[in-house]
Amino acid sequence: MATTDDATQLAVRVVGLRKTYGTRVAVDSVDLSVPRCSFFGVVGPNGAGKTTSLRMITGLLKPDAGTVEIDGIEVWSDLVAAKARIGVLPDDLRLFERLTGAELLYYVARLRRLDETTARRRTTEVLRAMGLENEATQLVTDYSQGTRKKIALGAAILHVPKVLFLDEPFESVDPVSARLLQDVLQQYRAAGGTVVLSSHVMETVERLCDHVAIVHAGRVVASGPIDEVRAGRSLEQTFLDAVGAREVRLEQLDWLQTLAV
Amino acid sequence: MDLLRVFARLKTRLLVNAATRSGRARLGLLTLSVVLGATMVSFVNVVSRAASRVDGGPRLSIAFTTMWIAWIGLPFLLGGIDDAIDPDRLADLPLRRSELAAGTLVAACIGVLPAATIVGLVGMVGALTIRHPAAFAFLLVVAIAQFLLCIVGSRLLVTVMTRASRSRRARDLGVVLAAAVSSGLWMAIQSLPVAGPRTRSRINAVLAWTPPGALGRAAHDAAFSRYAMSSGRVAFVLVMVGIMARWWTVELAKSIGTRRSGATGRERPRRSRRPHAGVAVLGSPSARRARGPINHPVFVIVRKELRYLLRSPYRRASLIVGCLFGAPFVLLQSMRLNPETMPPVAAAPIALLFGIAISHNLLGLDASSLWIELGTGVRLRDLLLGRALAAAPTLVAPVWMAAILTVVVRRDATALVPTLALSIAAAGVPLGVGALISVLVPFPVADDSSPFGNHSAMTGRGCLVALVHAVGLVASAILLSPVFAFAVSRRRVDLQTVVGCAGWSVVVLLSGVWLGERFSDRRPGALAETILNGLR
Repeated sequence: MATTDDATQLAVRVVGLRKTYGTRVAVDSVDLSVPRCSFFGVVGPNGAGKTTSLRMITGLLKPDAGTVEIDGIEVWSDLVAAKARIGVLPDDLRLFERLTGAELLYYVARLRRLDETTARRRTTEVLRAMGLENEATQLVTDYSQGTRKKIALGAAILHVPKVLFLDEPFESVDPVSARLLQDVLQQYRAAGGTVVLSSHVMETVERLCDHVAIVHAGRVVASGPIDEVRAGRSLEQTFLDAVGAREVRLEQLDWLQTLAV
Repeated sequence: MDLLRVFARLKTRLLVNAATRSGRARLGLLTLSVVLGATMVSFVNVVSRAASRVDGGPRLSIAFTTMWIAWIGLPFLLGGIDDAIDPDRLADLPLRRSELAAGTLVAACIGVLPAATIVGLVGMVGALTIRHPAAFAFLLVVAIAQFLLCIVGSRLLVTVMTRASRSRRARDLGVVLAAAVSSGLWMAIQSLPVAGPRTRSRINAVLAWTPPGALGRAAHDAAFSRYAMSSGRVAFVLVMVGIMARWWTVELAKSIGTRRSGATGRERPRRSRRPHAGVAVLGSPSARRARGPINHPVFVIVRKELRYLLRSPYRRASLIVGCLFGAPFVLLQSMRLNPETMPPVAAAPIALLFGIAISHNLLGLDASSLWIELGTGVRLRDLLLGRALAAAPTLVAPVWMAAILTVVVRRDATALVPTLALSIAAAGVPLGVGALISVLVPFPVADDSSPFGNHSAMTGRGCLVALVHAVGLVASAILLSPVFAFAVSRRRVDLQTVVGCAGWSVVVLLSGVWLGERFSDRRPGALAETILNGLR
């Protein structure tokens, strides 16, 4: 448990977060401490509870139990203040498909209460930074997956959030776009922002993050500075050891051998 | 106020983009505007005539109630005819509950249906004011109250049902309740012309106490200078609107914080553990080599689709809605028909039209599996035929339910078997139309956990979807007319009648499938891509 002094150093503090669906426990007593200005990776196998945890932390899904503090604000007591301090890039990008990229950024900025001039200026700057000037007048529905991620990330940083939450940000993104997204995130972190991202690509997390939490079956099985967590091993090995790798017995798929016939 | 302006501009921009960037969407928008415009002219005509008669109050109640039912019923009967602002897309923004509610309410006031409603209500105020100038202020308040009632009522229904639909059981119960209430009100209105004076007076008395019915009466009272009575009725409705608005804002705030993650917007994983079980059979080399009808791709697709018919929330809801609207409809028709000149069984083909939404969109339902199926190399013809056969239960179920109800009401079971047989025999007609439409205008239906949500929201397809359903409905009705005429001319439905109808039905079905394949000017993969893109 973090002390009061520690708490002021934390951008995000999660205690005893829990969510159940009927009899199925999706997230079970998750505790997380994310230091300010850190790059925090949440890794775990599919269905481990990463997305559910992030949705509860960002005020998108009400937890059954537990508390979440972002920048000292208890999220579920003051949702509006908490949401004003964060930017979110969810895994299921629900964007306004019938807006152009430029319009999407502009309206998100306006709905986040930026004035007209600032909204227009930042829209232009984000489009330029993301290399989306040529796609600015295309409808979002016509964008590729990588372009959608870029525009969604742009929308998430327009209001200069204190903490940025990214759920699988590099999935289905080509290497060039991924590198651009990473550069933007590094710049954001260098300016004093905190990034929390979930992924199951260990190499990316190992390269970008300074802190990591391994989630398995709804629980945090390891958490802390990345060097402490992996203790001299690779993150992938640490991860496999923590969650338990399962081997496929070839006789289960014996019909695959008919390919050779 | 600034935020409300942003919401209004956002909604306007979405509609403008939909109208200017897609030819089909523009066509849908224009046609729907014309259709709704004509409907509203009829509304003004009915209202102004009724308001000039001393006993016209009930008619005004019916007109106002019909308008309200259209508002609350269309979202889940037609898959939505307007692009509503989906609050889920605003969930990560720091908006207070009141701001979100006010913003989405303002946005809901902009669109084709709101515009048509405003035209109708302004027309009503104008037409009645010409005859009763002193009543202008009261009529204006009535019109505003009716508009608010329509907007808030539809938003409340969609939001409450969306929230209720987090659980499978509550979702089905919600569908049954919403459809039963809507069809009950609709039946009450439909029964008026055939009901006796006593029943009619009872129905009118009940309608007068429903919020839209009370507003109709308030307009009539105002036209006859009964201002105190008119004010009382309007006050009652405004209180109801206030209660509904409050309820809606609470539900709205709850709904955006409860959306399930992971399996977002879809069934829980355990429910769809084997979603494409049939596809493995379809695609495996051994299955391709296998002989016999059971392993034919058409029947593999039928098996898979039938499983989805029960598992997909949207399709299950459509089936329930089709039954709860279709059965009372046929019941009413059979009560009106003279058994001597027009056998009640002739109403069976008409009931098919209530399950029609699914048959118009064979490729768009369960669209996410379409690419897998096409990837196995199955022919588009087999795919359309398989999906058409699997959609048949949604068409015949309302007829069967109606037939059983008719037997109970008439205490005569002679028409039961012929009705069941005729419904199966005629089902090929709407399915054939659907096969062709599915290829010409493919539109996806996300297998959303909420069957009440506007499935075409924010996509620019809303108006187009309504237009497709309308065109399909008319085409099916025209093609069903020989079946209907044949059944009527024979007086009694015998084996020869059923075989004759089935023959025509098969011809239409196979023609629809054949034309669908022929008119598909793109490769099946591109067709799947078009549909999948629309799912975003």
